[in-house]
Parts: sequence; C-alpha cells; structure tokens
Amino acid sequence: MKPDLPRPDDAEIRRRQRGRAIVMAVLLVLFVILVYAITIAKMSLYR
Amino acid sequence: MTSVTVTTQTAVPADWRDFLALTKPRVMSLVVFTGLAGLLIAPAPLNPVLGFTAILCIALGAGAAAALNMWYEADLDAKMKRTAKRPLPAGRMDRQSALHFGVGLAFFSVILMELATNRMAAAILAISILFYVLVYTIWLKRRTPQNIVIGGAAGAFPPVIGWAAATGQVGLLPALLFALIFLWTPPHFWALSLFVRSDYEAAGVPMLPVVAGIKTTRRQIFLYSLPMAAVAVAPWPLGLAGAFYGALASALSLVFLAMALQVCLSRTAEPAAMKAEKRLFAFSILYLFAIFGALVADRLVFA
Repeated sequence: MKPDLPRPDDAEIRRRQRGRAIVMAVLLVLFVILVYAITIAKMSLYR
Repeated sequence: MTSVTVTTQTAVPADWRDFLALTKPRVMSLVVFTGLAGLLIAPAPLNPVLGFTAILCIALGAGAAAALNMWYEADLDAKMKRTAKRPLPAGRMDRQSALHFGVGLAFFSVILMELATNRMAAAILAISILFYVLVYTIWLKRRTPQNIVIGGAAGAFPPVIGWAAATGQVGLLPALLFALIFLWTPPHFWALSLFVRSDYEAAGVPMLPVVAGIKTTRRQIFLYSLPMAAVAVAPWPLGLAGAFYGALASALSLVFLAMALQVCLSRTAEPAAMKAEKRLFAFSILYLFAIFGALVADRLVFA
C-alpha cells in the first residue's frame, strides 16, 4: 500500500514552480552569454 | 537495488535548492580546485574564457555524477544518519527527476567541454562520470571493501582533465597527480569510515572497518599513506616542480604520515573517542588543497 502523500498546497506548488522558472531563466541567459564568449574566444584563437 | 523502498514520490515539485543539493556542492570544491590546478600548471596557456568553461564543465560533470550517485543510492542514504536528509531519502524529490537531472547534466558538461576545449578533455570527463556511476556506485560500492580503492580513480581525474583542456594531451605530471589523489582516497575515506562505521554497517555497505575490522583498517591507512607521500614528493626529484613545492610537499607528507601512524597505533574502538582519526580526516582535506596550491604557486610564482 502506498503511504499517504502530503496534500498538494496550491500556493506552495506555485512558489516552487516560480522559483524553478526564475532559476532556469537565469541559467539560460548565462548560458547564452557563455556561448557568445566562447565563440569570441575561439575566433580569436584562429585569427 | 536492495529491497528497501524509499518513498520518493512527492506531491509537490522539488525546490531548485534540492537540485543544487544533488550535486554535492561541498565535495565539488575539491574537484574544482584540483581541476583548476591541473589547468594552471599545464605548459600551454588557455584563453581565460575557455579555461573558465573547462572548470565549469568539470564542476557540472562532478555534479552530474553526484546526482546519479544519489539517484542510485537513495535506499542506502535513507539508512545512514549522515545522508538521510538528502533530497531523495527525505522525500523532497522523486527519483525520476534526479535521474533526468543527472543524465542531462552529464551530457551537457561533456558536450560543452568538447565545444569549448578539445575532444581529449571531453573524453576523460565522460570516462570519469561513467567510472564514478557505473564502476564505483553501481558495481563496487555494495560488493567489496575495495570499493573506494578502485572507485577513488573517479575523483582523481579532475587535474588530468584540466591539463588535457589546456594541452589536448596527458603528460607525466598529471599522471602523478592522478596517482596522488588515487592513493590519497583510501586513507581519507577509511579514516572517516572508522568513526562512522556503525552508519555503514547499518546500511550494509562493506567498508573496510565493517568487513575486515578496525585494526586492519588502521594498518591499511598507514600502508596506503606511504606510496601516497612518495608520489606527492615525486614531481620535485623528477624535475617537474621546483624546490618550493618539494619542501612544502615533503613537510605536509611527513605530517600526514605522522598522523596516519598515530591512527595505526591507536587502539580506540569508541567512535566518539577517535580523535586521531578525526584529525587525520580533517587534515587529509587540507593536505590535498595545500599540495595542489603549492604546485600552482611553484609554477606561477616561483618558476
């Protein structure tokens, strides 16, 4: 038998989703900046 | 997996901090430091952006391996006091999320390493992740007291990866640094396992003190410390490092050996009274940081 799971609290679910979305957005922006910087660095290597 | 079922099906999505906890950030600091040292002592300079990316990839790779380790060992972690509060045993995250996160991060780190540096560094990073997850976590850890002896190789890769990221190849010095961490791992973990052996015993992990006893473990700690000290000093007589490194590595290794001998001669069986073991465990972390720090200083400041 499965143990009783805690009843999902809407506010808590929203809070966590919001937190994950913000962290994901920040990481994606940082990734884009990193790929841009890597491209510039690689181009300068072959110049 | 063993028969113990861990309740990991959660009703609310895991917090982002729990994903961060899956990467074992504290363990990562040593991995990042030794990887950075490998990169800095390499004879070929690397563009700072590419160097930063290489270290980031080493950190992400280590995080991926840690996440996959926690995914596989959720049942063991639940039985040990030291690990019971981790996201999976505590029920704050479901196992599938941890698996997806670990696999995704592993692929991401290896691909980014290949794009930013070279194939050799990416290949060694991939091997180190696979070694930690498949050889150490899945194959050895639950089967043999030699688990951390062979599995220690996984933690020994970072300086080799750092060196390979800068040069595209592997030389004698990174091979020695690999051997140093490889030989350092058993005394480090066995010192810990002496005073938390009841935890390992409860979880059914065949660590050396559980299987072979405390006396054998104490002797093995000292025996492994001897070749470790020799490898730590070796770069100096081999002409791969200068006198500054040689003097510091010799002094630190002598202190390590003295502490290991103290552990070897100790007769304490009560974990709370194991001061020598706790001291050796704490010093072993400082030792590795100091050895790699000395090597970098020797190369960058005193060369």
